[in-house]
Amino acid sequence: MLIFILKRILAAIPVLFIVTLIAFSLIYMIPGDAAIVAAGENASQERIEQVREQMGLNRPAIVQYFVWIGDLLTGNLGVSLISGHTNAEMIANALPVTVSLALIALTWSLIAGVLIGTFAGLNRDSWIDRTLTALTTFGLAVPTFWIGLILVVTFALQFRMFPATGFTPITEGVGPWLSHLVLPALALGTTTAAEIARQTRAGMIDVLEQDYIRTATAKGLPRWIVVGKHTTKNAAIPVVTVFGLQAAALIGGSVIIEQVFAMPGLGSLALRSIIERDFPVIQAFVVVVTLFVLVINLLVDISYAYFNPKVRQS
Amino acid sequence: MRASTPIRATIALGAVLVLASCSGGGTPAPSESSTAVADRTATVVIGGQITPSHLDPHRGVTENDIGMLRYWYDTLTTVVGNGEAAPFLAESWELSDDGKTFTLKLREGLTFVDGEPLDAAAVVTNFDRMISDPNSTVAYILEPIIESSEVVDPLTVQLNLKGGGGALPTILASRPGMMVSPKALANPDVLVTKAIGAGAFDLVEVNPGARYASVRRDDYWDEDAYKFAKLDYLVQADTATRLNSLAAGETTLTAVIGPQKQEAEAAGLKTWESDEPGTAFYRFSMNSERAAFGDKRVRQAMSAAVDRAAISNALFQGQCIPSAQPYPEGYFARSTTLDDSKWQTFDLEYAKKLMADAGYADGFSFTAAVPTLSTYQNFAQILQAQFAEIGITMNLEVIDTTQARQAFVTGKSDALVGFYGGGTDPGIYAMSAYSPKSGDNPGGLTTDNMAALLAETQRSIDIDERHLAFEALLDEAFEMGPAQIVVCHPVGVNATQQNISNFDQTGPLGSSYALRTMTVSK
Repeated sequence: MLIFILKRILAAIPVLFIVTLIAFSLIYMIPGDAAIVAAGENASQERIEQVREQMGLNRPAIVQYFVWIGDLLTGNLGVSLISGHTNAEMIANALPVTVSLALIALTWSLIAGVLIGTFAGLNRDSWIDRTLTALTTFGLAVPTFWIGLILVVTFALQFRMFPATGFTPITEGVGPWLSHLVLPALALGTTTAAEIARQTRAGMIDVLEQDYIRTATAKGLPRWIVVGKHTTKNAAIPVVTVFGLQAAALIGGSVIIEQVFAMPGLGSLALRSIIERDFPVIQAFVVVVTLFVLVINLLVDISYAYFNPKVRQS
Repeated sequence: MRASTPIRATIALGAVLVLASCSGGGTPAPSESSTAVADRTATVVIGGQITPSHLDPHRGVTENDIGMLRYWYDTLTTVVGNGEAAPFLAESWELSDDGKTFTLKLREGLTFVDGEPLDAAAVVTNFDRMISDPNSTVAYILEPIIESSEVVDPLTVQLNLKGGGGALPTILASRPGMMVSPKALANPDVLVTKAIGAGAFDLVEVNPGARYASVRRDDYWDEDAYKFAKLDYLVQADTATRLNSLAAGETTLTAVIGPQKQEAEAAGLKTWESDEPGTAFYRFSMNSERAAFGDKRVRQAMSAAVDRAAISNALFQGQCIPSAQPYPEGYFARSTTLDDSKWQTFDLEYAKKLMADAGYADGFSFTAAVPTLSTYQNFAQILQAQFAEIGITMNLEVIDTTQARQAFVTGKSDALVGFYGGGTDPGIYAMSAYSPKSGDNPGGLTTDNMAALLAETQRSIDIDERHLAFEALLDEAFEMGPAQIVVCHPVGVNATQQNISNFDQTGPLGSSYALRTMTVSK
């Protein structure tokens, strides 16, 4: 298993390298000039050139790239062009918000998705199955920001059950932390829950038709053992795949949800940096999120190995 | 200024960018006051859109920072009423008869938030730094005016001038007038995370781009200003989110846009509408070296083809005051003698005649850069339809705000649909719009007299003399045919909780004054 994990980590290195190339190239690919941004409004051409030199943007691209990589390897994520804050500080401030949001969203979507999918799969073609399938179709089709707004209007403004905006760190109490996350996590996790439910349903139906399930049933095993022991684990592999993909997608989805709920997370930081053309922050964001996604993918790969021993052997 | 109840009004996003975060200024008497008892222990939470680009006022990259920075940095002067400069950190000032020196007399007993005295030496240190710091983003304003500065006595500063001293009182109501503690300037990196000025508030906690928490200073020089204990500024980028947050009771006030005023009132919130427009305006800028914009008749035809009232009603529910002049009604720089009717009056027949006279009876086509924000896109589409009435095909290139302005300023775009954020000195706009090759005039459209007329607007500090100088300047500009079509000046609208009173938005900075005068009751 250890060798399997090491192989996966080694396989991630080239991906990370390619991502650093792409992230660095952003400064050239995105329209706009970082020197003009940093020089400020109404800056003269002379001043812009001065800033360009100060920032090292007049050096050859390859030199700039290796300086940047060198800084990254020593843990230096750079400094914001605009505010002068270190990127590490800004990301450290934003990361707990997005991780909290993603964690709660994934948790509820996994629980709800697996339960709904299992229930639908076990009741294939019944009215329950059709109702739940319609529900998941709705969940996939409706934009998360719309769900977010409806939740705010209903549960924050109408019933005053949860805050409409903001974030409280867990260090200030689990209750306030959770209350700020309930609505945004519900909105963010809806699509994921629907996707997991559909995959679980399909997986359950597929596995339930397998010979070994028929044999287990024929042996007289109770239904809950057939489902709980023999069906669920084998039906879980596509679910895990979806779970991994959705975990990465949640980072993207958080950009919108964090705006709707005014949460100071990575999504808000990324959006603001893109609008301001704050290239070093964008680059740092891309690298950090890539690392995050690579770790999730690694965990998914490890879980494959748990669910399917053939993967370990290969 | 009034608390309004009827259902009406909207302002545009661009105006909100300026108005949502404003504070500071003097403490003018509210036009409608309340007898509510102030809760001086209250915390005011603002839901705002703007993130300050830098906590160092001399290094920020945008004038939009000013509104927020005013909480932590008082300016040497302020502007009130018709835009006239008024005492603030400086009690008085004087421009010598020969225009060579400008002398500032400081208020006594001023201190920075770090306890350092704000005296003449501190002011001189600030001016030296603003002009000589290679990272200064205000040097371009001061460097053409100030030669050097010196201490006369502990409360008196003398600025030795190259010229243009008449504009200093209004310029010093902006970023160049924000004084930073000399102790902090010795290590300016500290200003990345801390604002160290002489404002009413001490910035105690910063989550960059998210939250700026401040407490009111007990030793602030103006006891009557900011009658509450804490100020929390939350960055809430989305307009609907800001109103939701206010309606949920999580914030105290926010700027509202369009039908949000009705929504706020329906939610039981108070709304406040400025009686006067600010110095900001919506505009259409042309590069006079491109398309057919070099012909004055074409520029005038396009101005006459713009139905300003229709735009104000369609986009801003009438809350954008139509004007062809860059300065609003009631502002000292606005010309009261200029006959701009042939520019401002919507007259399609006249516009078509001008186009025919210019040899463009069949029209022409061009491409305008349009910022991505929906307000600008809607504004551009209306202009597109109105120009089409006189045969002009306006193609829209929608790109992000920074890039749109860059494309225009660098001469890569024919035209720009946009917004001018206003300011405390009218000369900064005039310089940019009427000087050759300046930011708002990439085509270099000017006249032989323009430089002298611009200099005249900066010659005297007397408001009446400056008014006359601006009238002469605008006469020249409209005779030349400005390369910018001014459309309308927006009016600010804010929503607050019910326990807010005396929210006075009077003056050229609109809601800038409101927090100084407002009362939070229990």
